[in-house]
Amino acid sequence: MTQRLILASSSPRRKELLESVGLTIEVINPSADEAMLYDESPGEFASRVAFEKAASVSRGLDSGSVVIGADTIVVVDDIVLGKPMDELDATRMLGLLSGREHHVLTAFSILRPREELLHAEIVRTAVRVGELAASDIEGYIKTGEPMDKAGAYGIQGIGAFMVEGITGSYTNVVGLPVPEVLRALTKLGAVRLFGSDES
Amino acid sequence: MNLESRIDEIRARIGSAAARSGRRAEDVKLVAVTKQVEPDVIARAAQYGLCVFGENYAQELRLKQEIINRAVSENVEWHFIGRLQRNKVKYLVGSVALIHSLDTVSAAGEIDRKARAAGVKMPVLVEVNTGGESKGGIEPDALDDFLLKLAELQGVEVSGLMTMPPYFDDPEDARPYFAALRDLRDRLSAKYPDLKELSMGMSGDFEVAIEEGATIVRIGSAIFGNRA
Repeated sequence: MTQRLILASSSPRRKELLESVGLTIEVINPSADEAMLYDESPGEFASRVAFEKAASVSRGLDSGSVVIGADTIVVVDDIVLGKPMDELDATRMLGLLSGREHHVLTAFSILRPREELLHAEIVRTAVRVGELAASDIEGYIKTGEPMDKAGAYGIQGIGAFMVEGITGSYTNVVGLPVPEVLRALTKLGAVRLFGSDES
Repeated sequence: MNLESRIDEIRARIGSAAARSGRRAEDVKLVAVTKQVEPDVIARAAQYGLCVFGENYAQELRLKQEIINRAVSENVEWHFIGRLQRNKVKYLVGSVALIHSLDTVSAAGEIDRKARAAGVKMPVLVEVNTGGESKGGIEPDALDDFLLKLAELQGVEVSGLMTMPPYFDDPEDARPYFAALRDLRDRLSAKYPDLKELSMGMSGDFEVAIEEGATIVRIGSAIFGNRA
């Protein structure tokens, strides 16, 4: 049986991660309320947004489809850093991350059409950032890379300059924890890694 | 519950408490406390109509103020509500609409110098220690003397009083402290006619404070959640 695998995410990085392990995946842009609710913990927040993204896409699909929604957040001192509003905000965020450890949480949800939840999981990675000089922050922001990324950096790009080490999944920091997603999809019979059939 | 619903709920509660004290909702100014709140959330609150934000740290206030000013077209004002240090006054005069926490002569002198240099009068509230155990604030007995000294400073405009009672599980227990601040203002207002504002009441006890006459309430976690 061929299942359509659909990624409810506008992030090109997530698509690349899944394609890099050989999956064929379609992208449909989701809609979700990406503002934190009152008394929602960071983990609950990411899980809800991941679910809402997948759910928004799942409504219009036929029964042979499986939808993956994901949300990645950067957490420092229990504060959730989203995407920077502008360069000054990016400067502020990078200042918060400088010289210390923070956590990157990616929540993902796998749904069938009509919002039927098959699997939900959250993966956390600790990231240690070195001391950032003001000139480094300024120069990095000038590259434009921070502006569309949660926490104002991308570990897979130029932002690698500031990451001294991580504890946990690397792909989770990029935007999708690949082993965990594959394990879940395999268990659900939606993919077969290194499999002999066409998927 | 989302941010907008929380704001609606808090406004309704302010309105009911104001009505119980024979006033209107507009008689009570809501300062949304944005300590530990990210600028994107503040911007959303501003777009929903919150227009006064309070910060505890001077440099954080300036940074958020600049980010929000660029992000939203709404007019917002900022209040400083944290511990006031003399060396941080330079970040505040000219940037904030009200300093809630003046309680030293040296900070007052610095506000006066910076305000006169800028050709403005800086509105301030004097923090009063009604609880006996708070770290800051002027003792009620010393308030008259302190106000007399401030009256000589041309750059400082004392528009009222602020207090922070000890924390109680039951907000009713804070009522005597709020009543004490109101009594102080009422007694001193003949001598200092500009002494009008009462900044008192936070997320857990703002309704009691309004019933006791608060004109300004400082609410953070009840709007934005417990972020830390």
